[in-house]
Amino acid sequence: MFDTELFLESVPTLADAALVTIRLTVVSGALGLLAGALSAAAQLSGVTALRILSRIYVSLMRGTPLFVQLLVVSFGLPMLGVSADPFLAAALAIGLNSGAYVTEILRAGVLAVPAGQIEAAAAVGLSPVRIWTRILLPQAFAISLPALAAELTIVLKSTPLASVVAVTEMTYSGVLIQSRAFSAIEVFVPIAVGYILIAQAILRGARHLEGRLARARA
Amino acid sequence: MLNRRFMLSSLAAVLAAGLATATPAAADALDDIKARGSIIVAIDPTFPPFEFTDAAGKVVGYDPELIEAVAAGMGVKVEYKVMAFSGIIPGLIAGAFDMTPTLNVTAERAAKIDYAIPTAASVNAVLTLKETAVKSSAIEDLAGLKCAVKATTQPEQMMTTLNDELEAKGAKPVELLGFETIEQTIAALADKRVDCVVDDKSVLVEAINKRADLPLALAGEIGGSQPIAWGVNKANPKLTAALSDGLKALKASGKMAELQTKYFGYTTDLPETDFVPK
Repeated sequence: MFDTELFLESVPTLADAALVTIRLTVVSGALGLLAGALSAAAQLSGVTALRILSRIYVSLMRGTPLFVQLLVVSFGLPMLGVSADPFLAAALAIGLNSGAYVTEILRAGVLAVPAGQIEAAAAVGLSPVRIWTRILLPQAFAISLPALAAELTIVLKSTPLASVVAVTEMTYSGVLIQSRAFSAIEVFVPIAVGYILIAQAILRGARHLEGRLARARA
Repeated sequence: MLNRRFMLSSLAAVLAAGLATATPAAADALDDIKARGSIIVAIDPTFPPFEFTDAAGKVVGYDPELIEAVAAGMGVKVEYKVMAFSGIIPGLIAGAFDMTPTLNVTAERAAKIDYAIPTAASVNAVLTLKETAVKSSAIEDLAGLKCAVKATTQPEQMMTTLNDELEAKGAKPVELLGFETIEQTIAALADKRVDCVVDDKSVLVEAINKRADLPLALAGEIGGSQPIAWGVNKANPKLTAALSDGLKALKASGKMAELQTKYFGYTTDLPETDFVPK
């Protein structure tokens, strides 16, 4: 009962939508990494106000559903007079959400760098900023890489929610075809394969990077 | 499907309540639409025959044709924002777009959004075989018979309510058999496992057309009808009035009846006043 014609007809549309999914994953992931790095640095900075601010951010983002965050960012901004492009609004919401988890991943990564290195760096006269950018963050990033890659696959699988704010990514694109053709399997098999391929690219990329970072340190 | 939309949007309306505290203070959206030269319509085209996409991905259906005709009358273009239904009512309340079609008219929603005059009505009907024991679609004539329904849908709930009324009068209830899909209910009817099928009328008409091999016939409508209308942000009464005027013109010209025949296979008389349930 597999409708080959429908399958072949769906693939180009789904491939276009897969590009939207990939773009949304990459942009959200980059925003999440940036937000998480800043927030982790704030939490470890020793400045009380920054630490509290970062804690509030992490608690808010981890304590509310991504669905609500998407609605607030996408429909809250126009109410403040900021007209947001649906893609950018969705990427901002997913990125800020992911940033909270990245905060904790990077914080653990930074804490895993032996304290002796920081003392040594301070002893040779490196400024705190340089200690962060040259000693702590690069090593924390390498330590955190497997967890960050896993977080990016979670971002990938959050992207279908962006369909509630007018981003037609891969899953919703399939829903549109399915509701017209009254067939599910021909549409959702290629979609599932699409997600598996993107996730594999992320995980293999991270493995490759891990290997290179390990060689660079050796 | 209508039932699913109702539940999802109730959830979304609750979420939107948090966003809805500040209604845009700007002028009526009608002025913006004229200045912009286009009306922004949020739509979830997963609901044939009301709205769906064609093979090229274009938004088509009963409501898009109506919207495009009304917009043409206003001298503006239609700009669709295609999105999943659960985001639509929150976005409408937040003023992120001008209108959305195909909402069940409910008292709860009417507290949050305005409606243009109804464009359709969801009404349930009774489907039987041509040779049948069912005399009419009146609930009294169905008492004691077996009816197939889709489980957990609005038609099933309606039949349960009607059964309570039958039992209160001392009559035998209709025996309800729940199925997953419309195809399964039709198969049960064809095999004479049931005497009738109760579902949305447009769905049953489509089944009759698709299964010309079976001697299917509509016994008639059952239960009340629920109007379906376009939703508009409450801050825009001028836009709501302009859309209603456009729809009235399409009624007068016969265009609306023509589209109803094209998409539903029958025409419906629709109210223009007092259509919001209390």
